[in-house]
Amino acid sequence: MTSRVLVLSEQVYGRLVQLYPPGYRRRFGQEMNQVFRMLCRDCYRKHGAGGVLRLWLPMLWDWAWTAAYQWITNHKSERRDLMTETLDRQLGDMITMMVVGFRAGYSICQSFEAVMLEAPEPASSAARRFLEEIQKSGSYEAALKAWKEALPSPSLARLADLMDHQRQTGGNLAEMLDPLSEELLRDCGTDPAFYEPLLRQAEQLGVKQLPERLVQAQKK
Amino acid sequence: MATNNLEPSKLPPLSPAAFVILLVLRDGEKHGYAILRDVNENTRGAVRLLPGTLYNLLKRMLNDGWIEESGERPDPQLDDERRRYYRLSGLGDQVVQYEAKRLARLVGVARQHGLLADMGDGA
Repeated sequence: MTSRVLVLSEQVYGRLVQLYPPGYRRRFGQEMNQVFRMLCRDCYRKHGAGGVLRLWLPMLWDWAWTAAYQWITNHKSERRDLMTETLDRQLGDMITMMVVGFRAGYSICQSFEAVMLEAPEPASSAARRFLEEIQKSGSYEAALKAWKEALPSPSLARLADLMDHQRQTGGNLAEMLDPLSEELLRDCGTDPAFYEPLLRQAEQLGVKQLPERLVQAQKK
Repeated sequence: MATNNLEPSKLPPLSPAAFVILLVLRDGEKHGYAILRDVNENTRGAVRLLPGTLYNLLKRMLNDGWIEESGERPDPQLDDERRRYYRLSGLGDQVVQYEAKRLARLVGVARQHGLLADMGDGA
């Protein structure tokens, strides 16, 4: 009876550990089983089978809330990763849109507003976030810093750094952003969802020389 | 919430379990069960840790850089090789020291208001 309580408890707990998210289970599952085993044996030595059975009520609660918490955290982190991946793929086109705006005489805020209104998600939300940060802090420098921290994309961090560099040293922002846009389009690709807004913007602003990918998209 | 970019003074107060885990790791590196046992014994049941909460907190502390996984086992001959050991990082030490001072200030306020008088200094 006694050792069966231990064996059964360990088996049941092992099954419960299988219900944590896969990444968490791979990293901590074996250790959790080990700790549970030692805890049960310790409890059995001190209080007998009844002690092990009494351990189960708090143990089930401990398992239930931590498993739910880990699944929620896992889901949030997967969504954030997907958002970052899509934003990285869109950033080359987003910068192209901003550069077209600058060349037509838009200010930085007007360029971001155009992206916010015309671009697909998540680029649109990223631009909205920057404008909100400007409103909140009232400072371009603080807004760039907060923007970079809020959106964990390495490419977006490079865009923010370039904009900050231009703020400090001056110079033509459109020309500074062009090479970054080209590099990102080459490395991360382009998002076809951006073509229509880019073509619309080019038409509104009377831009005649379109990048090759947009000319192709226009023909289709 | 990732807090690895924050100074200890800007962090929200720690949960009692997180505070005591960091405290017991100040004594030296420990494996999971030793942490759990020391927390339960040191707090005399005031904080009762179970494996789910323990590893939930260890994961967050690893992500935040408060603790580190130790590559060495104190006695490989006697120890289960699947066991992992954890130790406090420099940042983790700053965090636990800051929290201890914050709690001491709160206890001081409680004393000024006549609480804890019957518990004496050793309480």
